[in-house]
Amino acid sequence: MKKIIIIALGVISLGSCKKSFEKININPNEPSSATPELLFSGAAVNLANTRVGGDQYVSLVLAVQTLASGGNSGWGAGDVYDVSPYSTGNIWRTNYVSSGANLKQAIKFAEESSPVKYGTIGQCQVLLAETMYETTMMFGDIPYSEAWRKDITYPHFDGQEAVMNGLLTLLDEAIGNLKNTNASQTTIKYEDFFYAGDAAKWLALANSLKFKILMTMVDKDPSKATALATLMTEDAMMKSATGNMTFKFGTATGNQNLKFAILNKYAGGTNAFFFANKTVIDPMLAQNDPRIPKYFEKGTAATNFVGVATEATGDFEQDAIVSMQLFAADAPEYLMTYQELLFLQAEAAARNLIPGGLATAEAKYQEALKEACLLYKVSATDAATFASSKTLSAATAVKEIHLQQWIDLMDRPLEAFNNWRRSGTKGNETPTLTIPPGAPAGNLIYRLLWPTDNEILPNVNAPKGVFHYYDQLWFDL
Amino acid sequence: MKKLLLPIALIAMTSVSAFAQSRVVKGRVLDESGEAVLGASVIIKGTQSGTVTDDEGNFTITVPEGSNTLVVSSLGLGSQEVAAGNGTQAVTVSFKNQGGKELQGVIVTALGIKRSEKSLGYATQQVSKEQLENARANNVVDALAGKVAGVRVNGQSGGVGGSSKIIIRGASSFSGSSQPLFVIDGVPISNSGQGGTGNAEGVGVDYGNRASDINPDDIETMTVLKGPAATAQYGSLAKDGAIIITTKRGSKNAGLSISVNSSYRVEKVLIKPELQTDYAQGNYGVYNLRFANGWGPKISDMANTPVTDYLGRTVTLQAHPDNIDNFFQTGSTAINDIAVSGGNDKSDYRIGFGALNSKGIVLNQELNRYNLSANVGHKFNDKFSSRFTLMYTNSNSNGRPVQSSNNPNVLGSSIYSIPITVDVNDLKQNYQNEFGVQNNLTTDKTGNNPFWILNKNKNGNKLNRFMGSANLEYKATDWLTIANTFGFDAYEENRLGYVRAGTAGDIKGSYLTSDIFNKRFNNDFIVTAQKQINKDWNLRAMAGVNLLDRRIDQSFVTGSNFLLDEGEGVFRPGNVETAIADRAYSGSRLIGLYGELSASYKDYLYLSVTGRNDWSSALVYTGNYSYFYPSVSGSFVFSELMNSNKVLSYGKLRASWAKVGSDTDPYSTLLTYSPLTTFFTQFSLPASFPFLGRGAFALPRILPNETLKPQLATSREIGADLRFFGNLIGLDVTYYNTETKNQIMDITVPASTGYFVKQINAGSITNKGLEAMLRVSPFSNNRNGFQWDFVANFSHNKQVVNELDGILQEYAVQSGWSGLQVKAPVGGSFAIYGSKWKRSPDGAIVINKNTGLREVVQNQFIGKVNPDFMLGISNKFSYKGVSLGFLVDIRQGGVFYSGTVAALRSSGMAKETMANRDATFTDKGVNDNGDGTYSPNTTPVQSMQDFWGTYSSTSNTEGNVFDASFVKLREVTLSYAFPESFRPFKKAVKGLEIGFEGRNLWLIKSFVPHVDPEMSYFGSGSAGDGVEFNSFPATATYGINLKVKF
Repeated sequence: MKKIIIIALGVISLGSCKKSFEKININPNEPSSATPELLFSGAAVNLANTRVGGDQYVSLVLAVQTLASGGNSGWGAGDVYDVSPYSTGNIWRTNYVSSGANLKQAIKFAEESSPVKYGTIGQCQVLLAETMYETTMMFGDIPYSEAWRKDITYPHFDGQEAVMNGLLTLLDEAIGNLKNTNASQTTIKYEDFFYAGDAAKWLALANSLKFKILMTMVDKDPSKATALATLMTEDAMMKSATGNMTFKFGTATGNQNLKFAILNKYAGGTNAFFFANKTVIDPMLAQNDPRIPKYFEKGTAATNFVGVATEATGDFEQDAIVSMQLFAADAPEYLMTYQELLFLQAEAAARNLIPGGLATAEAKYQEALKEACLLYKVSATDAATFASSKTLSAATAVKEIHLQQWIDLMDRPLEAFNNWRRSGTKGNETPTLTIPPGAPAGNLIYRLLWPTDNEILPNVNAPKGVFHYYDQLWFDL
Repeated sequence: MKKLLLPIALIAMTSVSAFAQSRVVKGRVLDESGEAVLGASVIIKGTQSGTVTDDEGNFTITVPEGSNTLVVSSLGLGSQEVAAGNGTQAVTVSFKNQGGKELQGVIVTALGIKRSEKSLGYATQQVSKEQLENARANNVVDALAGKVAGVRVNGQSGGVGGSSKIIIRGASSFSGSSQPLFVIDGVPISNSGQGGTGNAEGVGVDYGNRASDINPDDIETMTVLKGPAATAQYGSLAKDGAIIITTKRGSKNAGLSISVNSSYRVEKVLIKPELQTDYAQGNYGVYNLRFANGWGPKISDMANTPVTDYLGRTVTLQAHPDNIDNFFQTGSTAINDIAVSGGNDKSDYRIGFGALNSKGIVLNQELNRYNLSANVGHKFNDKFSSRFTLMYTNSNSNGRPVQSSNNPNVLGSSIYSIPITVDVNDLKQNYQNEFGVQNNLTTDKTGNNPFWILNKNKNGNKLNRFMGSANLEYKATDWLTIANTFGFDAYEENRLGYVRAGTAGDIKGSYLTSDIFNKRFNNDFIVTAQKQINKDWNLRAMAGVNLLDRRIDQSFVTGSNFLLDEGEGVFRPGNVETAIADRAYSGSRLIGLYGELSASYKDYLYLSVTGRNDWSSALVYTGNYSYFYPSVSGSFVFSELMNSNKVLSYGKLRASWAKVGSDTDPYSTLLTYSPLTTFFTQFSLPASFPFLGRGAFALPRILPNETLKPQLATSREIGADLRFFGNLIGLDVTYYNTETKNQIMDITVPASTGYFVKQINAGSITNKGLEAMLRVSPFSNNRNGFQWDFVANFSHNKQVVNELDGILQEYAVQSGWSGLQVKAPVGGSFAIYGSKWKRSPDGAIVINKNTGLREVVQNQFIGKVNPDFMLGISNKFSYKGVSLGFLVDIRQGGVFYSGTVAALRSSGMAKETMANRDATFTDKGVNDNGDGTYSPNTTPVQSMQDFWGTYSSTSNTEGNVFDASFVKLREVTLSYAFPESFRPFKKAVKGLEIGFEGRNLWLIKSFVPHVDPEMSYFGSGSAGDGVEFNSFPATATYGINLKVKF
């Protein structure tokens, strides 16, 4: 009898103990649910800031040689192709975790809501496609079809071709969602840093991004030309610079463009580190480019703009540095621009991937140059004059377009890197780059290596073997 | 609750005698020196009924009419008969022999229960107050070093108030710390380490481990419970062992006693790096102010070539070989303790006050700690007694050093890169100009003047902590005791770290405040029944319920870019361009029901069975929140069965088997979303939400596991305790095997899963080991003459990782820099991995034909972190009040990575980098001919700067890894206790002792150049070990000590 009482008492007291335990084990600081808006916001801020931050921007501008370090080795060794595994790890984690996983979850929330938020799903899908396109362009084969799945701890790596085809499918789904009748009402509005919920602009971006991805694939897979032509016929891509995928920064500390934040923290807000690289400024000088004073500032004692070769010692009195216009606290980051699309279309026409031939190519090319000048605040007259002065000839059109892409993308090193690798077979790229002094002899950089700590070691399905920064990716001839 | 538990105790008791016409007799059993005898058996002559004495030697027995004699017996003391009396007067039984601590040993075990050592079926080791009072350690954890077999203590840094990590019998856990539980007077307290509970802590600042708040002078004994069998009653909290601390209390029936214990110590750097003194700063032999290093021209070659120095003055280069000596000052510590104690027959009373005032070996580094403690016991009547303890700690520190990298305040690298041609004293006077602007050491202003850091940028904390307990005990009958102990531990810690504007790497300055409130309540309700069944059998049953409630609340503010930064600085949100506030909270509750049944037969056979069931709030959503774990232990004093034996005077065998379950961190089993306040940026730039007015949330980075199970450690242990020739030689040997299964671990998952980390139940780690203690006291029979006590503590632990998740073959315990990792490979033990020199098939080092430099391969095994064995040897000689003791600590095996050595060598500052600078140097090795053949290397290196730049680059792990073995003179004490005849003011002064003490005096043997091999970068909260990165140097201390008793 006593035993029964004891057991009964025990059961009662433990029953109430379980209730109190359940209350105790709820974290008061973290809710069990979130909204697609808040997740999208975090994903967008992380992605955009990684693009301009110390891991991606600084490593790439130096490795790809769009800017010059002036011989200062304080920014890691990306300039001599020793990109820190911590930097690649940070880029990787931003794209997969801070951005990718949260976009996936935002899509899930939007799908589960009633009515289904088609607009939101479309926005998240396009941003996810952009994120993973960037990732594959840096790293090549990457987990995609098995990524972000709770049931898979060791995702397989998909070949780059499969990843890109997957992204095209994802963009088609996004286009379908953004065309849904409720899309305009159900987009993310306030937290949409890019288009404030304008479904039509997202739709144009989705089509433009498709064009960009197809252009990346077409060298290796010429059958993609059909899809390029279809996109031209559909005529649903960006039609003006108002369609640019722009991420704005603020002047308040904590919301500043990180390029400025670096200068602010280490040099009190002046550019004490980054010089004009001869690879960019020399062709600009040759064409008397009106963007020169927008991109650069002269040496303090110089009368002319003088570039610095990669790894050569910079001299602040004589050599040009990158301007504070580009490094302003609120200088926006462009994830995709209208002029970028125009240059691609010009290239496609010049290469006869789409109809129109040289005439179309030149029209698109001049339009692209004008937009490029305007974006960097060249006056409308100067922009028009400069653009109309640049004509194309059949023999050099493609090369000329690639050079202008290089100049346009100086401050967007990943896109510069992508177009440079596309611009010719190995050793025949535009512009011709040389191996930076101090870098290992032999090869230029063609990719970033997968991060060891965050992916290769913990993933039993990760590629095995020895890989090099000079290995070419699938798309690259 | 009492009603619930009383029947349990009743059921547990198998025999309940009825009493008729009897009288209650009380008494006390003492040995020759007046020490209480615990566990002596008291039997009513001619019957089978009796009792045993409690930890104060007291007994109460009901004697039936007609019985008049009690038989009192105890191991090692023999047996005697005494008159029972009529019950009106207490009976005092005094034995002629002195049991001595060793034979009669009383050990404070789990839950504060005192047990006779002979009855224990598991190994324990006790550190006495004498061992703590001499050569006093600032951090109580440090006092255990070398004194207890199987215990490894690692100090993180030599800065004042730095943390110390303690590992008992090897790390059992893949992730998180393997730190033992600290229990003071029956109450588990917090010993949280670096980083505490926060996620936004200042990088690399060591804020100490919280056990260091305890005043070592308040401690009577410290028992180290090593294995699960010993800690079964504490369950999960003590899966890594427990340190049971009993504080000092006043003596009963003693008058007023005042004791004063004062020490003054000085501290010096133990190991200073040896620097080269021939070369100035520069690059490839050319003087250049841009570099703080030693790669410039030879100073003697520049006698006629004046140069510009860092202040723009024209100077002739000159070496300053005493720079390191001049940089570090002599630190000092004053420890003053005063205690007032006394008591009457009902009460005992002690109040202690302690002050520790310490100044570090660099400018503006200080720690001040004040402790107030009270311990009061009162016996209301024969049945009811109570004890109350309180400890209050107030400590404040400043100037805590910063280690690691990515922080402009790292001092280690900044000190050791001062060019030898720069005079430290000059640097000290000129750290800023007349406008308060820093005079940087280098022209590119990337490096800070170390005196700017010391004068301007500080990390400190203020702590107020209350710990205490309230205990009530009711002796319902002579065999049944009901007790409740309520304990609490609450502290508030306020941390402030700041970088003042004008600091290179953080030009506009920043600050971080972290306010931590940590509280825990612990309650144990225990019913104990103890009964001498008959002459031979004694039974004890205990049942208890435990409730532990923990709460940590932390709020942080990070401010960046000061608006106004003048004078002493103002560190509040209004004074910065941006301030980010966040908070963290953690709450958990554990309820445990436990019981123990133990039986002893004839004073030589003991058996104990325990069981505990825990309910953990942290696991409540998994369905596995209730878990049970048992233990069995026994001991057999076989020498009792042997005929009187001159050689073997005491022999005991012990064996135990135990399981211990443990839970996980709160909130880790449910998926929740975090509101974001910041986002990650390289170079730690200000980056905050809301972003342009938009807030954001994110998925967690740790994938929660909704089906997590408690982890379970199974331990087997056997041991023997042998004593020879009376008490001249003692040998205690233990073998143990602990397997931790279902390990709850955070495995790094591929980021492509969308998470950084996943919590899983996996793996199994086995720790097997041998512990031995040899004690030789050849003159112990020579009571008042010369005494020599030799004690050696040996331990060997072998750790094997049996399984991870079944798929993974290795697990990164901790990542360091540039490829260095501490990993746990399946089939091996925790080891350092990283880049290694490339070697040809026959083992020759492969050298690049073009550069003459060594080539490396990534991600290779370098060496295991844990030592092969540890040995602590202590000797104590005493004669007529003079006592000399020293302790040597030996560690054999394991490897050690030194980031400081890497920096010293690659910057051309270390002495060994002087060699070959003017000569041609060709490294020994082979060139890879590319066709599978190798030929001897003939390519000289282009410069020694290139050679050391490669050899000691932080990314070339092997070049910076050394054998971690060492021999260290840990402690020396010399004391003199004045005999009564020599004591001044005899009437007032009841004791006077003067002593000299030293700690960490001499690194007798080490394989690591320039630094102390005991340094550790990973704090007490990490499973990583064996790595040092820009650590602050460890110190040697010398002091005098005065103890007076009134």
